[in-house]
Amino acid sequence: MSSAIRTENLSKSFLSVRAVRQVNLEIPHGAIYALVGPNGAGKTTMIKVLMNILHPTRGTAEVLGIDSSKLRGDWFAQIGYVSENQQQPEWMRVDQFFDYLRPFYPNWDRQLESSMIRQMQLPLDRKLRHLSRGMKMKAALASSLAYRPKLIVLDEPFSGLDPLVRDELVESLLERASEATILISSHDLAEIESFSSHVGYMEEGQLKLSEEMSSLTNRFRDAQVTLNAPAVALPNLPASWLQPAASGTTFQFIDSQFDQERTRTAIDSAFGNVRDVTFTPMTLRAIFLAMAKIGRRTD
Amino acid sequence: MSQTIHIFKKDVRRFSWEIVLSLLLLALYGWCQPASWESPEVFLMKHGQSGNFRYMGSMLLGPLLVLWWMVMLVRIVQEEAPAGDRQFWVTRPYRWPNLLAAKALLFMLMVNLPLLLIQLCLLAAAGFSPLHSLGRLLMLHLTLATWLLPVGALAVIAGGRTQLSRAAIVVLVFLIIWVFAGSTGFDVVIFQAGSKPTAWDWAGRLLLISIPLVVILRQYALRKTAQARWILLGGALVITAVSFAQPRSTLNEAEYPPLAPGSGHDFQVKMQKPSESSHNDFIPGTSRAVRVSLPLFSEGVASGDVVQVVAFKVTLEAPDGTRWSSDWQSEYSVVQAEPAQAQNSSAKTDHKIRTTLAVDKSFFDRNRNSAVNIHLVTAAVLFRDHESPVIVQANGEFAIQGIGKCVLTQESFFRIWCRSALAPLPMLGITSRSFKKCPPEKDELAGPPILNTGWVVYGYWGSDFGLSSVRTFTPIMERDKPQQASAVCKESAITLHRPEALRQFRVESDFKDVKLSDLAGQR
Repeated sequence: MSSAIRTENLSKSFLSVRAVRQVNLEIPHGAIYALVGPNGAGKTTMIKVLMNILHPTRGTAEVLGIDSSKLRGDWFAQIGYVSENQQQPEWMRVDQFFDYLRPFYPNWDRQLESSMIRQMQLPLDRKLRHLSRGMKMKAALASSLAYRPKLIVLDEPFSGLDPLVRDELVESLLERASEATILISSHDLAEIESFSSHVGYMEEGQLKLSEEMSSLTNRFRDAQVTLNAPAVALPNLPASWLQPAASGTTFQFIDSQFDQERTRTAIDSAFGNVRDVTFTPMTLRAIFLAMAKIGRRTD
Repeated sequence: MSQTIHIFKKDVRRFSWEIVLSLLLLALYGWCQPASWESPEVFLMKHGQSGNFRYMGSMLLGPLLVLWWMVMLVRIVQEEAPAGDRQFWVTRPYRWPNLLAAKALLFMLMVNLPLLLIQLCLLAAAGFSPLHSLGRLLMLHLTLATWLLPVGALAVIAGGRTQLSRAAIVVLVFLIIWVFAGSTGFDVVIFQAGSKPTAWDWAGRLLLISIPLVVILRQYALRKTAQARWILLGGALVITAVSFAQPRSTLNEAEYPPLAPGSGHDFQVKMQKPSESSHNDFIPGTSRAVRVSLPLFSEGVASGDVVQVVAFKVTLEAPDGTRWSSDWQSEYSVVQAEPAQAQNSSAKTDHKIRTTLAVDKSFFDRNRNSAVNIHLVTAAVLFRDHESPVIVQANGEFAIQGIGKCVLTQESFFRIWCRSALAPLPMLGITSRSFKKCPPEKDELAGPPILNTGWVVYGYWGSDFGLSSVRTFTPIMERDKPQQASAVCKESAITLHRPEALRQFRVESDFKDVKLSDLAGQR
């Protein structure tokens, strides 16, 4: 099965600033892919290249099977794109906005439009410029979902929204998840952890990792080893043990290649007299914090 | 097509106020424009208070409309700007040809079409057939496009107001360069009006239209803003280079063969001694040139002949053999035999011609007090006024075939106000019988007529960026003998001359031992 999005050595530079560096990304059809990373990591630039808003400096990108640089016109009838900083025709009322967009999309579903307007409590008689930030995002999202796109691309959609609005947006999004591939970028890890199927982590323009969410959370564990005698720093710890720290008889690290049996065996062979070992599952936030720290240290 | 109409309808709603304002201004323009067809005094007398407003409007509304259309164009383009990375339309199923077509349709239906209708109405109101001028009206709209397309090109490469402001600054810099170039003696002739366009003029116009068009089409199709900006900048440089590179000598000498002896014409150009001429006007020079005025006069124009001087070329030779030569420079002087004398004798009369030229400052400074030799080549057209002149009475409006309609006015001074459709205008002379006062004394009426003749200089009256479909002009009446009589009364017969062009020719003249300082501008 082909991928919904695929990039090969994709790079984008602005004069001397390399915003995206040789990114190889593959998002399977049907995935809810969370592209995460700190501010300035290159997520928005990457998405803009995928949407043919910006042109890549090097490399290629395919979106729904076509070269992203050829993405225009009718192709966007299959793609729903919502961005926090996108300019909307703010002079239009909400009902005019939907009336205007409808003829562009052969698959526009009026029933779905009505149900989303109801569900999101969008005021049809208000101009977009008079809506709150949350309401604007809801209108943008509803207008990008009503034609049942095959690919939904959301760039920081929840940024600055209150939790209630955020939950409503996520709810609307998940209702469409079964029929579309979703790419969502965010720097708030907690909000996307609950519903993403895949995750990619970007930092300084590079894609540091990209994999299924379950695989990622399964392979990261916070390991705490209690020794019978005070721990001695060992020169040859496995490379997958991140942030090792010793304190008295306690040795702590994050295992990035966790496997219950293999990790236990490795601990035994490294320390010898182990009194107790506990493995704690990590949140996405904790995993990326650890990775970010390593990234900064290697810089 | 349906997408084009859909976007068009949205834009009509979006820009309804701008469109209404444009239509109002246009209607106002149409109402005011007839004020420029006759003298302000007469118009104000006929129309009272509103006449004043209409007269002002006829002068101001043209530029105001063009300025407003520029603003409108920018706003229409920026509604779905091709430049930038935050636009809403880029990730919606817009087809660029439809988007561009919608914008063009909006502009054509809301600007060009109403303007065309107003122009047709003005033609009808001025007494001309609107349909006969359709082709030329379309050319006017093409001229309007040369003003608006560069603005459109700037709008498609600017991502917002800040970038538009920067673009405007770049444009301003170019304009300053052009103005500077003009002041240093270069002729930026792309925008030169009035004269017959040369191949260089056409090249300039073609570039002015095609470069913005390429930028606009490319930008809508590809949205590669950086490239589009370079193309536009490069295009502006090319246009500037063409302006600078085109030869200032635009006269085709082969079309003006020397006047052979025995041809039956002995037209000559001579120079008065500077001390004899009324040479006291100050003509400012520049840091690189000194303006020199040649007090020329002609001889040998036969009765019934009219000679139009079209260009001069001057070579100055210093005593040490060094030379300075001007290029061909255009001139407009009409020379004819004095009608009164021509009627009574076959004598050939003289006529003053004054031309100024910018002499290289270093040559001038080296030779200002030396006796230089001047070699002058004059290119001219010979006309024969063999048709029976048309005589009209000096009251009310009268038609001149092939030109249009004219009104003779006699307020503080005598003047003829003519209006024409957009047709090219032929050579026209107007002779009026003048009297010492109005009404004339009986003995003056019975005596030999004193005639004053003027030749139409087709410099158009008014400045409205070429929007008007009715051109207006006032023939300049030259009076060599103003002390004799200047009043044109109701009893004055106006004689119109429509001479036929016979031949183009050039004559050469040499003037020895002329002191340059005597010819230079002085206070």
